[in-house]
Amino acid sequence: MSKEIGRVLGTNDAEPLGYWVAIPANELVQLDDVVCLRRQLPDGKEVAMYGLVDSLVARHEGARLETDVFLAEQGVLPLGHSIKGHVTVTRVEPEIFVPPLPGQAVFRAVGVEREQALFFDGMRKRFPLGLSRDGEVIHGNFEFLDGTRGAHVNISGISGVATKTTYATFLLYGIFHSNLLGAEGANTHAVIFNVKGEDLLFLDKPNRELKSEIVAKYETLGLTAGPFESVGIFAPVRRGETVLLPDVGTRSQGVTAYCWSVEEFCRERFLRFLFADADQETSHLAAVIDRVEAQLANEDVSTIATFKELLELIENNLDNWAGTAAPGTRAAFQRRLEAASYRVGHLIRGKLQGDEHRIDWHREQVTVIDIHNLHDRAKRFVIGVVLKRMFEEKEASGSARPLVFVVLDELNKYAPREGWSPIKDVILDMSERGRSLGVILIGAQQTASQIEPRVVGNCAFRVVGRLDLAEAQHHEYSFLPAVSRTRAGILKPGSVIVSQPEIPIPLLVQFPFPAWATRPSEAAESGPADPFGKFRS
Amino acid sequence: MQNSAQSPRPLLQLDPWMPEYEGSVEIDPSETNVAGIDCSVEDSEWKAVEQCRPDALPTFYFIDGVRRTDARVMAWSQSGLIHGLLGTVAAGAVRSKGPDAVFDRCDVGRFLVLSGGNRRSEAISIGEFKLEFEGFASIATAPADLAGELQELMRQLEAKVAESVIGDDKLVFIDGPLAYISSLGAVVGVIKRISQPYLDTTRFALVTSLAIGQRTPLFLISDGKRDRYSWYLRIGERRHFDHVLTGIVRLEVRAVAGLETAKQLATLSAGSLVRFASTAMRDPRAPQNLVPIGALESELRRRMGDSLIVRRAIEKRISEGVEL
Repeated sequence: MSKEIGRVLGTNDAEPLGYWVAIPANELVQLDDVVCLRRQLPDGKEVAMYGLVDSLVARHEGARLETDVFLAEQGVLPLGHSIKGHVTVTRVEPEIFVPPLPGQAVFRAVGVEREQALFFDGMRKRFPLGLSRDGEVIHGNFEFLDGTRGAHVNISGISGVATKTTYATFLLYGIFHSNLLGAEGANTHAVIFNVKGEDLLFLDKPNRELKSEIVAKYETLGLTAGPFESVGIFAPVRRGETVLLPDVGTRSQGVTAYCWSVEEFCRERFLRFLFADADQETSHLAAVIDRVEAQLANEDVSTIATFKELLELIENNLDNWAGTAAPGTRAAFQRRLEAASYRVGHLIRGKLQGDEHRIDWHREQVTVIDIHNLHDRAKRFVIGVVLKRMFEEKEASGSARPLVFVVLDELNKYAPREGWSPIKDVILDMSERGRSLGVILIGAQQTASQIEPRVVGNCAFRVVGRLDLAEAQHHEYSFLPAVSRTRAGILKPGSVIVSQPEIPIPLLVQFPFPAWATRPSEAAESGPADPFGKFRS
Repeated sequence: MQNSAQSPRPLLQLDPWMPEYEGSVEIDPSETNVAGIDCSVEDSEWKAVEQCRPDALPTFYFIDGVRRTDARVMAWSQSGLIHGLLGTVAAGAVRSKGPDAVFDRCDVGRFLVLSGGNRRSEAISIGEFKLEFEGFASIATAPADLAGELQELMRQLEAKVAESVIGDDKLVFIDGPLAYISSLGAVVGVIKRISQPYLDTTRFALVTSLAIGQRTPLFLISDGKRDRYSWYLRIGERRHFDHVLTGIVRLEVRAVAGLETAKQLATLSAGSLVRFASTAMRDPRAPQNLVPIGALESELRRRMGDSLIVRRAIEKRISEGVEL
């Protein structure tokens, strides 16, 4: 039986979609509590109204002057305490929109009623978004993520509180390690770009600092706490070395060095991604790039051993290939090509033996591509090339299933509000057509206001971690009620506010500390013991 | 200017109470009567008694009542005109102990008072609620006397509330005189409006010179009603242009309680009542109308219900036809 927490207030307007509830002082009601009430209609029907407490106010009752509070504390002036809470109605069953009547009892919604209040009862496939503040599971409707009715996730939040990528990986963990995907699970993939630090390079290692209460939280969520089961880790090859070794500092084993061959570069038309700086592009320059790309695709480059030689080939033939372009444009092309080659050149090598340095995201369920050590220009190149190839592959397969999830932080660099770039093109394409192609973008950035609006607009799930309060005032966050915006300014790490299509009010969710390692010191050895371990001091 | 040599001309002074209330001093100089007053019961010398802080404070109770005429009615019968009124009275108590002050109880009574010994109860509906106006037959015939009956009913309710809270380690302050209290416990009447000096001019001069917390010695009033010990106490400041009795209250206890008890209560009240004095911004009858009393009056008015809604419901009921 649900517990009564108060009565509908008559001194404020009670409306079909929102009302105030008077709460006795001895009742503990906090923000985000889920409540319900039932109103009998004159025709005998009963309407159930479900809602969430989104504001709480306490006052001295009977006080007229501000200093009355002192008299009350001295035992001179008798004053009462009044507590009232505002309830935003999330659901009305059946859909007869009538106001609740003042004086009606309001109950805390538990069990089935809570599921109804938050629309969980109608979710055929659901994945864990986290836990509510009272420790109950908050579900997301997977149909709004897998493309059936919607797709994509966008996460905003200031940097440094380790919330955005941690939450993105938590969502993936919940999707991959529950029974949600069934038989498709094995062929569903995720590609995570590691843009900062090396904290995503240990997804396959159990976290040795995992405490039992965190394990219990995973259990509440229907998950087993542990590392990701199937992880492939790729890092760029080291610059200036002929032996192709991964350029990582904290992890030596199980990391594949990636690079591309000159031949691939030409055949697959990757040239444009060397020019991926937004804001600087002009249509003239783009025309030159197009032409050079087309020429390279047909050129025999089998004898070219280094990227430098390829550049020479381009420079020698430029007048020939792009002769109609103005000299200024050609000079601009050349200048940028040289600048790019210095930053990106080491990722494009002559002939490669076999496929071992190719980023193959089909091999493992989760593929982490490290780009944090690369220059911005090289980051753009890697992201552009990987996504383009993935997109083309999905287009060719003609089927949205199995799904691929792409986790990309710092979206503001790759899909900025202003300007155009080939990567922005790919990301925009992904956000607009990804739903039907089965490519799901989990994008993150500090400030959604700096992102191409169409990229954010296509996301079914909108997540905010801690926000700068000035940023929270931008209209990109208008899905947050005023009180949530204020709360976004004080969110602790591990808490986010999630908005999803079916629930008319964003929910605050808490997600557990990662069960996988996020730095070398947390990584508990899982595989066979290191044979040289005992030689270390 | 011609009188300045004999005596200074009197200055106009202000009654700080707001004019919608009656004045704080209602002494009629032509009717001062000091017969039956004994000023030597406590001390042969007539001088101010200093405040002394009591060691342990009891639980304080403050009792007050309010009344409201909701509607006046009348009926023309063959035997003449019958006056009546529907009225609401309420009485309650504030309990103050240490840092806690709370409304202890608030009782509401509703009456249909009819003149000429007529009696009829009436239920008035407001939404789902029923307000029961209990019939009260008054032998009076003049309409003005019916308001007096309502005042009487309020005093009785006040007394009922007061009797219910009297007990050990409790000090009950009741707003107004003690006429309706029959218990002998620690009950002190607090009279904030001075309508009779009870003292001769010489002794009364002491009242005007009291400092805050000082009181006059006890004096016994034997005026044909119940005998009682009384004293004046200054509980609040006066501005230099306020009249000299600003901040003065008269207190009384039943004489049957005994002189010793009366003295104890006088000491205790002098040591504690100043704390509860009101200020002009809080109360139009400050400082005499004590803060808990002012709050209690507001609360009791709230408990009586909205006057307009009650009035409308009465109009609706009368329109349906109510026979005597």
